[in-house]
Order: sequence, then structure tokens, then C-alpha cells
Amino acid sequence: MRFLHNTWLCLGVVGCTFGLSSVSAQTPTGQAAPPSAVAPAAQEESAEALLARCDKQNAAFSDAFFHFKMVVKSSSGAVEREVEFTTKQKGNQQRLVRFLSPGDIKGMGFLLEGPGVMYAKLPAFGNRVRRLGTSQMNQSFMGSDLSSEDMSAIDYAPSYAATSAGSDGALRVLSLQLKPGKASEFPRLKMWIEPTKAIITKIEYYDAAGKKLRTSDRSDFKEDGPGHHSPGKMTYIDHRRGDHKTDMILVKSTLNNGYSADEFSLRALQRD
Amino acid sequence: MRFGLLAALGRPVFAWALLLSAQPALADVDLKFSGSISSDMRFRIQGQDRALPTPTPSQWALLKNGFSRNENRIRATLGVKFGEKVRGVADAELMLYGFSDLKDIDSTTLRDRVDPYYLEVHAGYIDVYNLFGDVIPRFDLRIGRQTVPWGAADKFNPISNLNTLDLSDPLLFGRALANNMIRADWNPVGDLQMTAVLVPVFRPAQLPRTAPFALLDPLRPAPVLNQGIRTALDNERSVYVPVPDPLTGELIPAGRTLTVEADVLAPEVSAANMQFGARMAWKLWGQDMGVSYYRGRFGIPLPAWSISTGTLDNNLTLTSLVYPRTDVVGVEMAGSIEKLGGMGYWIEAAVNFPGEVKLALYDAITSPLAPRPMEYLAGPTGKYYRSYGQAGQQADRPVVVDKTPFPKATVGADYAFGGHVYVNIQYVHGFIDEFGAGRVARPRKDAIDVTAQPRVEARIGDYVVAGVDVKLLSERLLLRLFGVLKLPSYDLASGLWDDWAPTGVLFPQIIWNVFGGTELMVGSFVMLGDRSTKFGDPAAGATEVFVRGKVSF
Repeated sequence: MRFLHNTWLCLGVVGCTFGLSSVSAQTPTGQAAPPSAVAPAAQEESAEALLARCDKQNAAFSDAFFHFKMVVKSSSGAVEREVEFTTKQKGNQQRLVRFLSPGDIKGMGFLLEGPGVMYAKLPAFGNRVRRLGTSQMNQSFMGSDLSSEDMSAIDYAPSYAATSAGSDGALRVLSLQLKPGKASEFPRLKMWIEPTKAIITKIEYYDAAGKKLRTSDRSDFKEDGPGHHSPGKMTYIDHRRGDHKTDMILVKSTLNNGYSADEFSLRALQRD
Repeated sequence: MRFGLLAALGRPVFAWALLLSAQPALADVDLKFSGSISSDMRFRIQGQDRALPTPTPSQWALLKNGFSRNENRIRATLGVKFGEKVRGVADAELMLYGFSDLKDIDSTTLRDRVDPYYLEVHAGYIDVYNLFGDVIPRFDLRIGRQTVPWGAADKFNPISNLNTLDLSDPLLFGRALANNMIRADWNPVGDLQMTAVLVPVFRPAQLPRTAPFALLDPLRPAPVLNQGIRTALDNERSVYVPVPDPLTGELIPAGRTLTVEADVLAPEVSAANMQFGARMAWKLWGQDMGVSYYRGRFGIPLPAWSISTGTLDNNLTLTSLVYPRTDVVGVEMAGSIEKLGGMGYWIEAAVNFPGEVKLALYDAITSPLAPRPMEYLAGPTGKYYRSYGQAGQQADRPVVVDKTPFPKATVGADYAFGGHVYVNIQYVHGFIDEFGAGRVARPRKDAIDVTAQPRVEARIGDYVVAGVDVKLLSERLLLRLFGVLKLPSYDLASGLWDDWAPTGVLFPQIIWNVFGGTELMVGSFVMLGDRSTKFGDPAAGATEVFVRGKVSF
């Protein structure tokens, strides 16, 4: 009699931006921060400034539509699960997620209407819409290698202190240390950045003792809005699970669609 | 004639028609298709078998031990959307029983007897969004076969009464049955939502195959509120009960038979019998709140007339059942408590104002041509005895449901611990099949011992419903255990506690997500308690073990 069967399996994705956006960099009016993807030329940019520029690049839109395909693979590379979903978002607290496949969650929808206000639309129960506790966001997403922190749109600069760790070809490498008073599953990060466009191409996640826990690679970037580049593919490898892997493939993205508040209401959740 | 008219109007008309029809439709038609194929095999354990004849399909018998389901379901849902204005949805399911219905040699030649099936339509409706455009913005209309699930609670929703429940499968705990309705939703401003629903024709609840155990058992205590009258009725049935031989202890047949046949009287299709509901919901301090009202009927029938026919030795009692009227005023609230780590909670309560149902009793055994009304009057000792009224007159009828308002409520919370464990707990006052104030007698532990005093319980019971999910193996394996425990209840009117006996349900499952959209399930539905209890009652069903498979697309 698990009444919300499958609901909580999917809920992690509600807050998910998968590193495509960093919404707390939005201006108070909800408008996009001005794009500033041009790297300073004369002198090497400080690590802190580069990280802040990455945050800005991530948030260079007022609203967005993303269509993802997620492929979860075992250590041997065998496909365990494929999930397809779309997400509409506006500002840092409004998000509407709809699942397209697999069939057991097809038609299910989630609405993050504001802080702590979250709803699920459940096709298996006559399209009932239920209010949900936010504790259900604090979980992994359908066996993937994405953590709850991947699912919350974080800015790195406010949480991590950055220092330069050299370069890797054309890429700048930063070492990030969690700031005092901040909490994270990963207290240390190593980040590869393409400095011209302020694009993060790779992150290694470490524990406090320096043990590598996870790696995420981002590739196939495309410019889908002024000053914003979305990775066409993100691969998360969890070393704690024997290099269990999750690919996030961006099927489609459109930015600055002019979504109104009506698009993030209970009425909108029920309508599809 | 039509073609002639078109020809007379000429080509311009045809061209305009093409333009008008093609413009919005062809560009913006959005088709969505989904569905599922499932198989469900269940084995019933230590149930009460039902005497012949078995209803259709005849091979689907209620055995003490045996297969209780062998079904396959094929479900398809089609949605078509025309731009942002109109959407149509059809959702139908073909169900193959997996049991044959062979009665004679002819039936073996008929495919629908050899392999019976039915088609259930879960939805068939049309949505029109923003019906009045900018004149009344955000006003939506839905017309057709649909469900309107109201309420904040998880599955046990006392304010959700517009659709009756499908009680045929205990594993569903009452799925809402679709019905033809007209629903209007208006979102005038912000979070304020207003809904009005009209249901022209009442659709009764789908009862479980075990329900006749409750309605056809002649020795079951009558569901009347007055326990004195119930005792008098029981005493009159004692002549039909086998008696133990004082020497051997073996039961000696009574030599007389008492059989009950039950007819159901569906409400007349009339304007007066239409159902209506309205709800208003809003948000306050981040919490969802709502009030609602429903006018209609309860979906499970209750006895209202009973006439004893035949002879005293071969008594055939014909009983008629009716669907009681009710008005329901409900409130609800739900939200997330961030100080408790984002724990979800819900509170839902309804006050039912029932229409009165009385049990008219007639005797056609002693007066076959002009059945005499019977009534039961209290004697000087307080003991009730039968009295006859004149034929054609109405006697004082015992009350089955009185007009006393009664509440039903659900309070619950859920929480996800980390990534692998989910817990859900609810307190439920009033199970989905319970209706009416006061106290009634439960079936006896010994079905044929009508001299024993049955336990008497409040009609509206109290329950704890709780469960836990554990996800393993990259969430491909789900271990689930849910349970229901009945608590002792207190009846406000009489100031009495239940003659409580332990009863409950255990519902363990293992669900393996083999691949996308494909699930294999094994589990059981264990009914705990003796036959006098809520879940031990044969009418509630029996313990079942099941294997299910489902692929969704």
C-alpha cells in the first residue's frame, strides 16, 4: 500500500539543475545577470574571480526549458535505467518537471512553486495532485550518481574558497575548499575551467582526507543563450560505487522563453 | 441533400471551411499515448468458501484455498491537445479474468464464456482551458467521464466523495471510479482555486466479490443501531441454527432453512438525485488549505427493506438495499515542516450529515397476501419483542443510519531518510467503507452461535496506517511493508468504548524494477483477526499471496 509508489523515486529531480544553472546569481527582479563571459586579457584572472564568472555564466538566463535523457550504467557499462524528462524553470525557486519515460513514471509531474512548496501529480491515482514534504528531495534520483547537491542550484563562489592549481592545456584548474560554516558532502573540489567562456568542463569531488569520491565530465557545449553555454553531455562517475556511471544528455534547451508565473502553478501542473 | 446544398453554395464555402478548420488544428495537434500491460496472479489462503452457485465467471470461485485472481490487463491512454485551448483524454483498460464461465455445452462454443473479459473506461473527457478568454481568465471546464480526487491525505480522503470507490481489489484500498461529470475550475487570483462539480447520475461503488458474505449471511447480526432490537432479531433466527447434541456435541441440523436474497435499489435518475460538490483552496503561510462541500450519496448500500416470505420452515427473506444520502462539509490542510527536516504532513476532516435509513420489516409468512409490518417494542424488562402493525400501515422501523452527524478524519506525515528509506504514517478516523454514527454489532466469532452476544463497535473506527519503503541496488529493488492496525474507538453519543479485538492488515511487497517501466512484484496481503473483526471478517476478503508483472510505456 505504498500510495505514492514511484513518486519518491523521482522526487530528487525536482530541484535539479544539473549544473546548467546557478540561480542564486539572479538579480532580485529575477532578470538574468548580464552576461560576462569574456575573460580579462592582460593579467591572469584570480581563482576567485574566475569562479564567480563561472557562476554568472551558469545563471545567464531569466527562465529556461531543458529536455534531458538520463542513462544510468553499472560499473561494467551495462545500461540499468533510462529516464527522460523536461524541466521548466524560472528564478531560483520555481520549477516544473515532467517525466516522459519510462512508462511507469510517464506523465508524472512535479512542481516546485517556492521555498518548501512542492507538489506531485500522480497519474496512477487519477492525476491526483499532492503536496509533498521537502525531505523527499534529499535523496538520489532513480539510482543515478547524482547527489542532492547536484539537484540544488548552488553557486560555487559563496560556498568554496578557490585557489589556482595550475593549468591543463588551455584549461585553468582550480582547487576549491569548503568555506567555514558551509556544509557539503564534498568538502574539496578540483575544477577544470575553460577560461574564455567560463565553462566548467570537469569536477573531481574529494572528501576531507583527499580521497576522490566522484568525477563529473561535461562536454559538447553549445551556446543556447546570450553568454550561456549548456553542456550537451554530463557524465557522473561515482568511485564509491565501483565507478558506477550516469550520463545526462541534454536533448534540447531554450532560454529566456518569457514564462509567466502561471506556468508554475497548480493549474499548470494539472493541465498537461 | 447535404451534398446538394454544398454544391449549391459553391466552392467559396468549401474553401472557407478548409481554412477555418485547418488553421488552428493541424499546426498544434499534440498526441500523447501511454499504457501498460500487466498480469496479476493471486492465491487465497484460509478464506471462507462461498456456497454454489458461483456468479459469473463461474470458474472464479471463492475457495478456502485457491487461485483468487488470474487476470491480465491491457490499458491504453490517449491524449490529444489542440493548441493551448482544448484537450481530450481517453483511458480504457481491457481486463481478462482468466477464469472461464462454462455452464453448458453451448457456452463452450462462445468465446466470451470461455475467456471472459470486461472493458473499463477510466477516463473520457474534454478539457477547455480559459473558456471565457480574458473576460474571466483562468476558468477551465472539464466535461465527461473523470475522477475528481479531493483531499490532502494519502489515500484515505474523507472529503473526496464525488467518485465512489472501487473496492473490488483490496490492494488498491479504494480507487476512485470514473463517472460522467461537469467540472469547472477557476483560479481568479494567486493561489486561490475554486472548483464546482456536477454529477448527473450516481455511480455506485464496486464492491468486492466477498461483499455478499456480509449481505447474504442470515445469521449475521442486523446492522441496526438499537442493540435490543438486534438481539430480538437474533433470537428469532435461533430456530434456523443447528443445535449441538447434548450427548455427542455434534451439531444437529435445525431442519429449517433461512435464505437471504438482496436486491439493490439504485437512486432514480432525476434532477433531485444529482450529486454536487464545491471546493475552495488557497495557501496561507506556505501551507495548503481548503474547504469543501459535497451533496450526494454514500457508495456502499445499506439494508432498508426486508420481507420474510415462504414458510417458517423454508424462510426466504428478501432484502432491499439503498444508497444513503449525505452532505459532507470538509476541511483540509497540508504542507512541509522545514524545522522537522522537511517532513510532509496532512490533515483532512469531514463532517457527514447523513440521511436517515430505517429498516422496514414485513412478514409475508403469516400473511402472504397482505404482508404485515413488524416493529419491535421494549417490554417492562427492557427486552424487545415483536409486534405487528396492520397491513398497509407503517410500523416503527429500527434505525440503520440515523441523522446524527459524524466525523471522518485523516492526519498523517511522511519523511524520507537519506536516499534509501521512506516512512509514511497516518491516523485514520473512519475507514473508506464506514458510514454512520453510533455503534453496531460485529459478526460473531462463531458464525452459527446466535445466542452469543456479539461484540459491539463504533461504526466509525480508528486506525493507524503506517509503512516503510527501503530502496536497494541502485533503487531497482524496493522492499515495502505497510500495515493497518485497528484501535479501540470511543462513541461520543453513548460514551462507550468498543468491545475491541485485535485486527489489522500486513502488506509486504518486493518490487523489482527489471528495466525501464518494467516491474515484477511478489507480496502478500495478510488479514489479521478473527471473523468478528474488521479485517478478519470473511466479507473483507482473505489473506492472499500474489505475483504481478507490469510493463508501462
